[in-house]
Amino acid sequence: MCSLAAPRVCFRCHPCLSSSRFEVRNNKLLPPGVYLRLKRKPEKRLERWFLKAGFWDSIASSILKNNNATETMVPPSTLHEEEEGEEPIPDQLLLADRSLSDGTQEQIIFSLTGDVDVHALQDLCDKVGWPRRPLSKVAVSLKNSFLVATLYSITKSPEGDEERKQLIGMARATSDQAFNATIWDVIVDPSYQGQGLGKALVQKLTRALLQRDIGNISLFADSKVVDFYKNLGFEADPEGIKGMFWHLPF
Amino acid sequence: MHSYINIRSPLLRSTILPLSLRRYITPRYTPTAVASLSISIPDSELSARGFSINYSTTNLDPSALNDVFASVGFPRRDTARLNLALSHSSGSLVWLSRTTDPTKPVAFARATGDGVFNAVVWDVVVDPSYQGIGLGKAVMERVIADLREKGIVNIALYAEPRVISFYRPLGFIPDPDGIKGMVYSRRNLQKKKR
Repeated sequence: MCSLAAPRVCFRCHPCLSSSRFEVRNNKLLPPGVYLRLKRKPEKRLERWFLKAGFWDSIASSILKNNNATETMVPPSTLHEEEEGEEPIPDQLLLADRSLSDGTQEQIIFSLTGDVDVHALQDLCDKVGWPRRPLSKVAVSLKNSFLVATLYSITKSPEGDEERKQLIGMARATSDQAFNATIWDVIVDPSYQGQGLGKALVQKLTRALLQRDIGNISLFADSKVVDFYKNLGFEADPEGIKGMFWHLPF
Repeated sequence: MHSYINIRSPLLRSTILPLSLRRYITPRYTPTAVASLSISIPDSELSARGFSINYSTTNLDPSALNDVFASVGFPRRDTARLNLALSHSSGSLVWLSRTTDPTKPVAFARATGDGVFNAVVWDVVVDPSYQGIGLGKAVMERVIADLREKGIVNIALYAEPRVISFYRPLGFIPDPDGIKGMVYSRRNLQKKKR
């Protein structure tokens, strides 16, 4: 059994921890052709987890970055209550599996594997009215993002012969991979909004960042969505600290 | 009447342009702070004053950087993690040192980002013994210039209340269009659960 003292170091070696019932484990859940696209990259994950042992102090110090009272590194306090025994966010997660009124079966998948088709992303951005950006630059920005979280909808016709995979949401985070991360471009297809998918997307991305020991997670929110993020645990202007932009974003 | 072209120039802000003229306004916005496009203290002068300008971590002593963090009230970081962060500050990294002591930073700033659209500037520090002579401004201007050269125009940062006036003359604006900087806090989530 894993010792609670260092849960994150040991769960990689223990098969018991990879038995989340929400995880997409079984090939039969998805048709083989589709599964190949959503393939995990285990080598990549192992690389990230390797660096974690013994860095509680630096997580605490980066969270308490603006505390001027102390010069020394602050020992971890109750920051990790929520994470004891918490399972890691897997690369793919089944969020919903439902039958639609016309008999089609729909699965909503959350994915961290990060392979996004830039054309599908552009279609999604068009749907919400975001300005188009050069596709080559979009591809580079995704490649340079530390984590890219996506929501896919996989629909199967009642006969079971046709299936469609559609990108319905995305969020990405840039990071220095040690202290800070910033979440950008959170987007959900308008026809899938209002179902808690955006919330799940941001929540899972945040959890994934925390599990990679990024202590400071930030973002810049339009005035209309400040409350959305407040409900997810984000605080605006903490201790009077203001977000500032060079010139004006468009 | 919704225009997709944001007219930022103060001269045009109050005029309502007829539809026929709008397509000739080519830039999406025009800079309002022209001063920030220039470098206030040129490289030659910094050099004459005995400072070296560095754009990579090659000679940087991480424990000396930690000393500077501590001297301005930032917490010290674990050295290995600090090195990790420095190696991933792919946006930009600028630091000044005394030419006579090339591994010790006296002013520092780094930026992270995706390399094409966005960048966030972190850890802007100046050793207290060297504050007040324009070194903070010098590193910031160079970070901004470096980012802009790479085509990144969306440059953001988080400023404590007492340094907001330091960033304004550099061209930074707090909460533009009501956009709020937000930070995740586990404590907030715990409060909500109760």
